[in-house]
Amino acid sequence: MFLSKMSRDSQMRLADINFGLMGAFGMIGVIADSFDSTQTLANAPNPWLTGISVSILMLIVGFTFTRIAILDRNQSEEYTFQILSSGAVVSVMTTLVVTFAWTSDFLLSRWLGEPSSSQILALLLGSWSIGYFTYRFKGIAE
Amino acid sequence: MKNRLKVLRAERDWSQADLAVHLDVSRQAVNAIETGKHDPSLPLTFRISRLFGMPIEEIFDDRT
Repeated sequence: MFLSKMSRDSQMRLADINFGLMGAFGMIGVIADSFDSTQTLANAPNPWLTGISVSILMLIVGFTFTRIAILDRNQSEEYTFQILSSGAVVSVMTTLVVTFAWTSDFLLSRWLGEPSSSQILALLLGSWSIGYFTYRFKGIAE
Repeated sequence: MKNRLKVLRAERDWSQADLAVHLDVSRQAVNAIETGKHDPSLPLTFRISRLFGMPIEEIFDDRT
Protein backbone atom coordinates (compact mmCIF):
# COMPACT_ATOMS: atom_id res chain seq x y z
CA MET A 1 0.00 0.00 0.00
CA PHE A 2 2.69 2.47 1.11
CA LEU A 3 5.13 1.34 -1.59
CA SER A 4 2.52 1.50 -4.35
CA LYS A 5 2.10 5.25 -3.76
CA MET A 6 5.83 5.91 -4.07
CA SER A 7 7.52 6.56 -7.38
CA ARG A 8 9.74 3.77 -8.73
CA ASP A 9 12.83 5.98 -8.20
CA SER A 10 11.83 6.54 -4.57
CA GLN A 11 11.34 2.80 -4.04
CA MET A 12 14.84 2.13 -5.38
CA ARG A 13 16.33 4.87 -3.21
CA LEU A 14 14.46 3.52 -0.17
CA ALA A 15 15.89 0.04 -0.85
CA ASP A 16 19.40 1.53 -1.21
CA ILE A 17 19.05 3.37 2.10
CA ASN A 18 17.57 0.34 3.89
CA PHE A 19 20.25 -2.05 2.76
CA GLY A 20 22.99 0.52 3.43
CA LEU A 21 21.73 0.92 7.00
CA MET A 22 21.35 -2.84 7.39
CA GLY A 23 24.99 -3.34 6.36
CA ALA A 24 26.21 -0.62 8.71
CA PHE A 25 24.11 -1.84 11.65
CA GLY A 26 25.15 -5.42 10.91
CA MET A 27 28.84 -4.48 11.20
CA ILE A 28 28.27 -2.32 14.28
CA GLY A 29 26.10 -5.04 15.85
CA VAL A 30 28.71 -7.75 15.33
CA ILE A 31 31.42 -5.60 16.92
CA ALA A 32 29.21 -4.27 19.74
CA ASP A 33 27.96 -7.75 20.61
CA SER A 34 31.58 -8.90 21.01
CA PHE A 35 31.80 -6.68 24.10
CA ASP A 36 28.84 -8.49 25.68
CA SER A 37 30.60 -10.91 28.03
CA THR A 38 27.52 -13.13 28.36
CA GLN A 39 27.65 -13.91 24.64
CA THR A 40 31.40 -14.25 24.19
CA LEU A 41 33.39 -17.38 24.87
CA ALA A 42 35.48 -17.10 28.01
CA ASN A 43 38.69 -17.79 26.13
CA ALA A 44 37.88 -15.65 23.09
CA PRO A 45 40.42 -13.01 22.07
CA ASN A 46 39.73 -9.36 22.84
CA PRO A 47 36.32 -8.01 21.77
CA TRP A 48 37.72 -5.73 19.05
CA LEU A 49 39.58 -8.62 17.43
CA THR A 50 36.47 -10.83 17.62
CA GLY A 51 34.17 -8.17 16.18
CA ILE A 52 36.50 -7.17 13.34
CA SER A 53 37.28 -10.83 12.49
CA VAL A 54 33.59 -11.70 12.26
CA SER A 55 32.96 -8.55 10.16
CA ILE A 56 35.72 -9.51 7.73
CA LEU A 57 34.39 -13.07 7.59
CA MET A 58 30.90 -11.67 6.85
CA LEU A 59 32.34 -9.55 3.99
CA ILE A 60 34.31 -12.45 2.47
CA VAL A 61 31.50 -15.01 2.72
CA GLY A 62 28.92 -12.41 1.60
CA PHE A 63 30.89 -11.43 -1.53
CA THR A 64 31.67 -15.09 -2.28
CA PHE A 65 28.00 -16.04 -2.21
CA THR A 66 27.14 -12.97 -4.28
CA ARG A 67 29.39 -14.37 -7.02
CA ILE A 68 28.01 -17.88 -6.54
CA ALA A 69 24.44 -16.55 -6.81
CA ILE A 70 25.29 -14.90 -10.16
CA LEU A 71 26.72 -18.18 -11.45
CA ASP A 72 23.72 -20.02 -10.05
CA ARG A 73 21.31 -17.67 -11.80
CA ASN A 74 23.12 -18.01 -15.12
CA GLN A 75 23.26 -21.80 -14.94
CA SER A 76 19.85 -22.51 -13.38
CA GLU A 77 16.52 -22.80 -15.04
CA GLU A 78 15.08 -19.28 -14.62
CA TYR A 79 11.69 -20.33 -13.23
CA THR A 80 13.36 -22.49 -10.57
CA PHE A 81 15.78 -19.72 -9.62
CA GLN A 82 12.98 -17.16 -9.34
CA ILE A 83 10.98 -19.47 -7.05
CA LEU A 84 14.08 -20.19 -4.95
CA SER A 85 15.05 -16.53 -4.63
CA SER A 86 11.49 -15.35 -3.93
CA GLY A 87 11.22 -18.09 -1.30
CA ALA A 88 14.48 -16.85 0.23
CA VAL A 89 12.98 -13.37 0.66
CA VAL A 90 10.01 -14.91 2.51
CA SER A 91 12.46 -16.89 4.63
CA VAL A 92 14.62 -13.91 5.61
CA MET A 93 11.63 -11.70 6.46
CA THR A 94 9.90 -14.47 8.44
CA THR A 95 13.08 -15.24 10.36
CA LEU A 96 13.66 -11.56 11.15
CA VAL A 97 10.11 -10.94 12.38
CA VAL A 98 9.72 -14.19 14.34
CA THR A 99 13.19 -13.88 15.90
CA PHE A 100 12.43 -10.30 16.91
CA ALA A 101 9.12 -11.38 18.47
CA TRP A 102 10.74 -14.41 20.12
CA THR A 103 13.61 -12.47 21.67
CA SER A 104 11.51 -9.51 22.84
CA ASP A 105 10.73 -9.52 26.55
CA PHE A 106 7.35 -7.92 25.94
CA LEU A 107 6.33 -10.45 23.27
CA LEU A 108 7.14 -14.17 23.21
CA SER A 109 10.39 -14.40 25.18
CA ARG A 110 8.70 -14.44 28.60
CA TRP A 111 6.72 -17.57 27.66
CA LEU A 112 9.02 -19.35 25.23
CA GLY A 113 12.47 -18.42 26.48
CA GLU A 114 15.31 -17.37 24.15
CA PRO A 115 15.59 -19.17 20.79
CA SER A 116 18.69 -21.28 20.19
CA SER A 117 20.80 -20.89 17.04
CA SER A 118 19.49 -24.28 15.85
CA GLN A 119 15.91 -23.10 16.24
CA ILE A 120 16.66 -19.93 14.27
CA LEU A 121 18.27 -22.03 11.53
CA ALA A 122 15.22 -24.34 11.52
CA LEU A 123 12.99 -21.26 11.26
CA LEU A 124 15.02 -20.01 8.29
CA LEU A 125 14.90 -23.32 6.43
CA GLY A 126 11.27 -24.01 7.30
CA SER A 127 10.06 -20.64 6.10
CA TRP A 128 12.16 -20.98 2.92
CA SER A 129 10.32 -24.23 2.24
CA ILE A 130 6.95 -22.54 2.85
CA GLY A 131 7.89 -19.70 0.47
CA TYR A 132 9.20 -22.11 -2.17
CA PHE A 133 6.10 -24.31 -2.25
CA THR A 134 3.69 -21.40 -2.04
CA TYR A 135 5.28 -19.80 -5.13
CA ARG A 136 5.63 -23.20 -6.76
CA PHE A 137 1.89 -23.83 -6.62
CA LYS A 138 0.51 -20.30 -6.74
CA GLY A 139 3.03 -18.89 -9.21
CA ILE A 140 5.11 -15.73 -9.02
CA ALA A 141 3.42 -13.55 -11.61
CA GLU A 142 0.33 -12.62 -9.59
CA MET B 1 0.52 -11.49 -18.56
CA LYS B 2 -1.62 -13.19 -21.20
CA ASN B 3 0.06 -15.15 -23.98
CA ARG B 4 -0.67 -17.41 -26.93
CA LEU B 5 1.91 -20.01 -26.08
CA LYS B 6 -0.57 -22.84 -25.61
CA VAL B 7 -2.24 -22.14 -28.97
CA LEU B 8 1.06 -21.83 -30.82
CA ARG B 9 2.31 -25.03 -29.22
CA ALA B 10 -0.90 -26.87 -30.14
CA GLU B 11 -0.63 -25.69 -33.77
CA ARG B 12 2.71 -27.47 -33.94
CA ASP B 13 1.38 -30.50 -32.09
CA TRP B 14 4.02 -30.10 -29.40
CA SER B 15 3.61 -31.21 -25.81
CA GLN B 16 4.74 -28.96 -22.98
CA ALA B 17 7.78 -31.21 -22.65
CA ASP B 18 8.61 -30.74 -26.36
CA LEU B 19 8.42 -26.97 -26.04
CA ALA B 20 10.50 -27.10 -22.87
CA VAL B 21 13.27 -28.93 -24.76
CA HIS B 22 13.17 -26.34 -27.57
CA LEU B 23 13.43 -23.50 -25.06
CA ASP B 24 15.88 -25.21 -22.69
CA VAL B 25 13.60 -24.77 -19.67
CA SER B 26 11.65 -27.20 -17.50
CA ARG B 27 8.19 -28.50 -18.43
CA GLN B 28 6.97 -26.87 -15.22
CA ALA B 29 8.24 -23.50 -16.45
CA VAL B 30 6.33 -23.89 -19.74
CA ASN B 31 3.19 -24.78 -17.77
CA ALA B 32 3.67 -21.78 -15.47
CA ILE B 33 4.08 -19.40 -18.42
CA GLU B 34 1.03 -20.81 -20.23
CA THR B 35 -1.14 -20.48 -17.13
CA GLY B 36 0.11 -16.96 -16.37
CA LYS B 37 1.89 -17.98 -13.17
CA HIS B 38 5.29 -16.93 -14.44
CA ASP B 39 6.37 -14.03 -16.63
CA PRO B 40 9.41 -15.14 -18.62
CA SER B 41 12.62 -13.14 -18.56
CA LEU B 42 13.59 -11.01 -21.55
CA PRO B 43 16.14 -13.57 -22.88
CA LEU B 44 13.55 -16.36 -22.66
CA THR B 45 10.92 -14.14 -24.29
CA PHE B 46 13.29 -13.57 -27.21
CA ARG B 47 13.93 -17.33 -27.47
CA ILE B 48 10.17 -17.94 -27.62
CA SER B 49 9.78 -15.22 -30.23
CA ARG B 50 12.54 -16.67 -32.40
CA LEU B 51 11.26 -20.24 -32.01
CA PHE B 52 7.79 -19.35 -33.29
CA GLY B 53 9.11 -16.80 -35.79
CA MET B 54 6.79 -14.10 -34.49
CA PRO B 55 7.26 -10.71 -32.84
CA ILE B 56 7.01 -10.71 -29.05
CA GLU B 57 3.85 -8.58 -29.01
CA GLU B 58 2.04 -11.16 -31.15
CA ILE B 59 2.75 -13.82 -28.54
CA PHE B 60 2.47 -11.84 -25.30
CA ASP B 61 -0.07 -9.26 -24.27
CA ASP B 62 0.74 -7.18 -21.19
CA ARG B 63 -2.59 -5.34 -21.23
CA THR B 64 -4.88 -6.78 -18.57
